[in-house]
Amino acid sequence: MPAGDGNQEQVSEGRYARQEMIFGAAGQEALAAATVVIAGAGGLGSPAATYLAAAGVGRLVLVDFDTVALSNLNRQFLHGDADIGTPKVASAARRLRALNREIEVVPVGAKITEENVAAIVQGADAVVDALDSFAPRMVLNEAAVKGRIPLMHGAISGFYGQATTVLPGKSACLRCIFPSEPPKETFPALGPTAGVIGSIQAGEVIKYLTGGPLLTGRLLLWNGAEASCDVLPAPRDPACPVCGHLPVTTEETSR
Amino acid sequence: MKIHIRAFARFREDFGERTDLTVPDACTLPDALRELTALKGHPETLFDDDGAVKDFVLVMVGGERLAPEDRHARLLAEGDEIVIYPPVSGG
Ligand SMILES: [Zn+2]
Repeated sequence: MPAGDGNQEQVSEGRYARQEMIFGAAGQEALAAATVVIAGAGGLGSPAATYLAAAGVGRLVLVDFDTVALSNLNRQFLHGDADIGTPKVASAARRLRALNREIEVVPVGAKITEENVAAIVQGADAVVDALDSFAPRMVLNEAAVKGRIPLMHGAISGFYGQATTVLPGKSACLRCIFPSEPPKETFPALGPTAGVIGSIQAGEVIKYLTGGPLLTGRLLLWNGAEASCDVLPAPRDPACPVCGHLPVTTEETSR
Repeated sequence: MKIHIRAFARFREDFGERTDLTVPDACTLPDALRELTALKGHPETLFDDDGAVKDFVLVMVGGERLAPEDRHARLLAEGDEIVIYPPVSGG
């Protein structure tokens, strides 16, 4: 035995040993039993899906209709040069399975629409909004509220990012916070910004599943240009056309 | 009266982080934002062609979000803090 190791406790060498130090075997079982839908396999989906796969979320459903383009590769690390022109969900699923063979990855090559969204989120324990424009986000938000499924929102542009967690009926939904959609744009995109926000989303999913305070009722703003972070209050809107009809509760805890 | 305006994300590139303004009593929210753009420029960042504050801009006064339809007539009070933030939408 090398000198200095004599007093160390025996450390488990299992895949999840270091995170079970946080939430225990029961938390790990909750992750393994969970189904999480990740809408978008791009800049936000890459870090969010990677961390959820590595953490052992039992079933990841990846939804994206797009194919890999060269201009994606500066940030979308689930894809590489060899994947250009092929479906994003295919390369993403391959990478995630290679990362963790203990989980199930379900690729869904579809664009989220009002027609298919209910079927896509059906049975999910949480939904990650890793989309890249507001119109489909609002479709996803409405389906999450209808299904009472938590939604972890993230969005980026250049050095700037935002994130919030929606617990339907308990905290503000995306329509409460953003009643009017920003114009669609070809947004500047940088890997580290997507990394920060996508990681926050993955952390929110893990805390929701294992227990912990969430980013509900607040909008987190990341400013990578200044390396600063602000949190704005984001209360429910009683007149919200999406969630305003749900009874008001003050409870904003995880399940 | 004195009010101040805090800008976030890319709005900081146009307006800086915080601006303290002295405005007349009976100043509305759009009046204050027009003062800001008179001082710092970039009116097109905040206002539509018809002079209204762009709907998608997130506006808060005293920690409370103001819906687009409630902005034009909102009267400010001494010491009010206005927050302006352009939601991002990429992924
Ligand atoms: Zn709502």
